[in-house]
Amino acid sequence: MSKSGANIAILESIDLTIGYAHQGRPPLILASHLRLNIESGQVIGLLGPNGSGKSTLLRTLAGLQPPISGSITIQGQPIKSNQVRQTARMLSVVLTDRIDVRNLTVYQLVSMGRYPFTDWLGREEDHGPERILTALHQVRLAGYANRFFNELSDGEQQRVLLAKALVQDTALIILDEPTAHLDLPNRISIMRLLRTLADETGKSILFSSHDLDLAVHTADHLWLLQNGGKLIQGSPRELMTGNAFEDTFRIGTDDLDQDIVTDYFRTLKKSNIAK
Amino acid sequence: MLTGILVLAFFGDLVFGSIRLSSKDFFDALLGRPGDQNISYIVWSLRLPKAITAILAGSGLALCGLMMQTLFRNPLAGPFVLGISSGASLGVALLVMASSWFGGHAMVQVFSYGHLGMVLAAMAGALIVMFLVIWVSVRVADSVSILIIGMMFGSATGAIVSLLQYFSDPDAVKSFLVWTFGDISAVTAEHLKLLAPIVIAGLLAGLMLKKPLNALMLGENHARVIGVNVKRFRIIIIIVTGLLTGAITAFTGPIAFVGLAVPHLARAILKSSDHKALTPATLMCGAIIMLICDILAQLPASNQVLPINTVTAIFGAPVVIWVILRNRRGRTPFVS
Repeated sequence: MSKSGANIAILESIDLTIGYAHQGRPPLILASHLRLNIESGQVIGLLGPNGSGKSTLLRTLAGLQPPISGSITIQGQPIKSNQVRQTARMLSVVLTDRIDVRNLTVYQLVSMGRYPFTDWLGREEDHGPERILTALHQVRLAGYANRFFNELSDGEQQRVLLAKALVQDTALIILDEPTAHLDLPNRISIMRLLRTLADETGKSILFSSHDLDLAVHTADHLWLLQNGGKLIQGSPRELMTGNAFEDTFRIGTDDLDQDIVTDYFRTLKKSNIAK
Repeated sequence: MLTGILVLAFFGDLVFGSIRLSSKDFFDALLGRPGDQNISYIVWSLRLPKAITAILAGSGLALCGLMMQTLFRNPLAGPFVLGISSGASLGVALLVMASSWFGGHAMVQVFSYGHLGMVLAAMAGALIVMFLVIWVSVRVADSVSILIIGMMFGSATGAIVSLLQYFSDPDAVKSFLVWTFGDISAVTAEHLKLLAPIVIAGLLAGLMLKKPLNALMLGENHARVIGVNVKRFRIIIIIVTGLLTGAITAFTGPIAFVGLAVPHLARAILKSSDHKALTPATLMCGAIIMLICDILAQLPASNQVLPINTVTAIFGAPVVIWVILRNRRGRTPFVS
């Protein structure tokens, strides 16, 4: 399965408004009337300056917080933020929240990805152990099953969490800043891994990032979220030829910084459009 | 192996006591063979209820400690962090001391109410605090707030108890203090009929919660994304903890230390954080520690009996420190 199969809609949002509702006060709206869709096998990168609402958008799409208005569907089924078990069967999420547990093996942690499908005692139905070993193989961690999670490097931990999302067996995986705490080689290898997984398994992947260069290389499609709630969508190439990147990241900076931003994007575009 | 130690400790607790029994007499009594009526009475009516109480209290408090540590992801959490045992203390304090204000000698009053009166007062206090904590946790989004609010309840009720002590006569204060030392021998076979079902139900509920406990151990957001309804299970865990702590504290007085320390001991022995194995191991360790502490409290060579609360801490603390130091492993955090 490769990109040839890509035009089955996985995620769709209609007239989505995101933000925070406060009792007795007008809601804080970060972006409104968003029309988003993700097709199968697509890798989408969500970019934007700090405070633009990237995490809020991801949390809303993942059903972790309710939208102010509008609807989100995964493969035609609506996401409801109060039905966590149903949601966890439709999409999986990789978080950056640190897991600080001793004596927990990689296998035990990855097996928790099966929780939405197991009964109340955690009993697995069919091929649980196989799925877990396959997922560890897919994230290049075969042989790590009995290692302790807290003794792994940050890059390896990120892969374990990705394996946990894989065994959840969902059409869409959402990752919140998967490269946040990693060094350059690990950032590159995580991004490569996301690309390969999407190509090999036909899963759709949505990730947020501050690594513009890596995101441009990895994603089929970019969502640029600006401060003020405007969302620009397009392929990296389309967005490179216009001023979308500059507009997204320049707002709110002073003159000197604007020059630096412009220079940065000039270099970025040169290196990417040339190929 | 833990089962073996548990059985040994159980029989040890039956054999050792302020009255020495020969092993022949002991087994005669236990197996119902005709023998000395007094020994039979000691074994069946005094020591057996006490040993069963030790098992119930030890495993129940240890389970509460484990659930609180997992829910709040805080190694210092224990069964008493929600202020439930302070509620029980307040109930007893009100009964013992307030009754002394209405004339009469406090001790006389208490004995005329009987032990069961204290139990009911403690239960009432514990339940009131538990419902307050649940009332708060339905309205608050994060566990840390619940932890802080629970501790505030504990401090407030503790302060009221202090005030009561300040205004009460010394006899009343003393009989209250005796209750706070903890005493598992006061639990009779009659009391067990009430205590045992509550504790066993709580233990079963705790064993069934292994899946949400494993998920909550990762953190609340991680738990939600694998489909665990955090709010629902938080309330279930608080109810189970409240009933267990409330019931046990009501019957035995506030037994400190066991709930906090035993889960750490179980983790160190097991070298696993998977609640599938950790919960049963914690129950076993709790029961064993409590039985051993009770044996030590009898001071095998004398007729004196120490308050169980002092024994659990004096003998238990060094053991736990030793086990944890021996088992240090894992990545050391940059700031610990």
